[in-house]
Amino acid sequence: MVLEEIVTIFFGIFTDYTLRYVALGSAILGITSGALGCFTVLRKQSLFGDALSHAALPGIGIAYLFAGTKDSLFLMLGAAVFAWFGGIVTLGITSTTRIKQDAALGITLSVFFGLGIVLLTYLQSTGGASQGGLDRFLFGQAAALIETDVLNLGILAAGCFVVLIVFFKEFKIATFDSAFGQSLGFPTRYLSALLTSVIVVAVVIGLHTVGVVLMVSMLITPAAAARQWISSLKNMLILSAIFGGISGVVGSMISSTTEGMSTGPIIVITITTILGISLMFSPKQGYLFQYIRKKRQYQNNSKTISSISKETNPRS
Amino acid sequence: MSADLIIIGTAMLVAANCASIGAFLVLRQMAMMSDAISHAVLLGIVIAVFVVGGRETVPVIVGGVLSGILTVSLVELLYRTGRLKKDSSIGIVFPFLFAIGVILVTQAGNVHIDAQHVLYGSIEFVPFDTLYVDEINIGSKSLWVLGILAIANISFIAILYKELKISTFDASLAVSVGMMPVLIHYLLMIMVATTAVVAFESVGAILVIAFFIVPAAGAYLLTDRLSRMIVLSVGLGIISAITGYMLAILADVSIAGSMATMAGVVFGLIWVFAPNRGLISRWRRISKQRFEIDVGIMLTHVKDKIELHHQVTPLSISSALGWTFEYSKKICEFALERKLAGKDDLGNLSLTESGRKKAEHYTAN
Repeated sequence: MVLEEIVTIFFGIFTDYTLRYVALGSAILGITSGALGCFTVLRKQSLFGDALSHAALPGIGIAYLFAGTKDSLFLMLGAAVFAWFGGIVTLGITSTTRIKQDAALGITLSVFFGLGIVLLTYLQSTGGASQGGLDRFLFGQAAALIETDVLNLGILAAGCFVVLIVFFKEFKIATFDSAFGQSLGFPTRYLSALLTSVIVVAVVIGLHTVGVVLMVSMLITPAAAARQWISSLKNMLILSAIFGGISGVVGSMISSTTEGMSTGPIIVITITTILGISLMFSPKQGYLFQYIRKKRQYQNNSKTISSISKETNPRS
Repeated sequence: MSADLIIIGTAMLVAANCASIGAFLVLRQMAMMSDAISHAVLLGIVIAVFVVGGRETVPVIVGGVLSGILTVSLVELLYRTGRLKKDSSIGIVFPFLFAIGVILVTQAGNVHIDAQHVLYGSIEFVPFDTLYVDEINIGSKSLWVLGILAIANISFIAILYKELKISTFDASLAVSVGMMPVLIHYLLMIMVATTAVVAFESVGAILVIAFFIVPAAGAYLLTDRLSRMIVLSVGLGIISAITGYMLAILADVSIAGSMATMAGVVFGLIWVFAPNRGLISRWRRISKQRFEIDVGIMLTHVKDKIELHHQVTPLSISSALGWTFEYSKKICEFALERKLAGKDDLGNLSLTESGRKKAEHYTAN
């Protein structure tokens, strides 16, 4: 019964027109944020993505206010500008005051989000029904994706990957040893800015499918899961992208079966489950294998001890 | 009591409750932990509503606090394995718990919580929720609950003030004098969760964070004393609440959203104008320091040139040091005024005794 349902949903990707775009859009998000999220995790900026995605919300409101259209490209542009601005404000607070990064992130995300809510409610009170659907960016509504949206998302994601492939070596150095990079003459400041820009693009893609609130999970969790299996950056990026893509497709399919279900929460639960499995079962570091290894070690140790004690004390 | 007054009173109490606890969160660098807790309380609230079958205050608070503690423990558990960084663990745990909460809310029709109001609350409806004792209306429920919470928070801070202070600023000292900072940590987290769950009902998850962090961060730029910081933080929170309410009424927008926006505006003003720590005074200090250093460079330059029997004028200084002529003239005039340098009739500079000493002092360092 359940299996049959799963199979029907799965083949729905090939037959159902809407579901195909929903799954495709979510997969694009998962792959992009999965790959780029590795950098935020490795650079110890995990929660930076949280601030960026919340900061994007007023951008959507302002873009709609000025452009007057719900064309996803305009909204994404507004979102990207504000996400960037939020990032700059966060860095500005930490570099010019004694406020630490965590509080600076908290300030950015809550104030920008508040401003976003103000703008959305302003549009609601002035624009009548026409603004409806802007609040789907809170939790994401992949079901609302149409062909042009998916095309836009795909182009943006492709742009991210081109930048990522071209500057892979530079990003790697800027991530792991930026002082070394600087000594080699790499413009590490500009590289960091570029890396932040592609992460902003990933965040903006995510607004459609997971929404501003849960976006942080799409950046961190696939990367954290991939990190449990692999330690080379390149392979980690690939695995993280795969994890992200899988959770995007699975999450959007599950949510498409239920009326009015936001996609974001389901995708987040899927990817966190993948992380849980990775933490348990990864061969090198997983709890399970660690437990087995410890037990074996303990048995070996006790064998050795008993054999030693027999040698030294043959009568017992 | 009029509806407006009840809303403003609720907002002020939320601001005061969050901002006082928030001072410790900012100082202990746990701001993002409060972010996590204020999201995760949703799960506890929803489960409590499921179990009890209604939005009774006490079960909701208990559920919220339990899920807050669950969040903190899960984050620590993940982080202690050594395989995830602390901020990554926070960013993994709270979206997960929040996502479960959101799904439960959207899928269960009888919870009466709107998914969006989870984020930005429904303070507009607070006046309709009144409390009855023996069927006598004793006023707004939110004012009572928040008032009791305020008393709890004030007594928490007052009773454990010394312990909180020492464990915040010097955890190892706290251990060595037997203050159990871990216990303090968890008590603080319980207070954060309680405050978050109570405030959550009226202003929503994100704006709880605004009131926890933003006023406290502003106060942190204004003072160095913990006690003053707490008072200032509460004051800034209340100012943001009142101005935010006025903005919301004027522009007909979300009350909670405009309160967070005003909190940001207040913080922005402090960031720019704060005495000693603001951007303006920082810029002034830096340019003053730069000027003083440049005076030193000028004096050293003049000393070197005089030892070589060269003539030095503001013009030669500007070409030698790459300054504009105006700037080198300004610096020379400053040096003349302070009697660090002298000038002959042709405009050539010389050093006075104190100027020579100063130049030697600079070269010695």
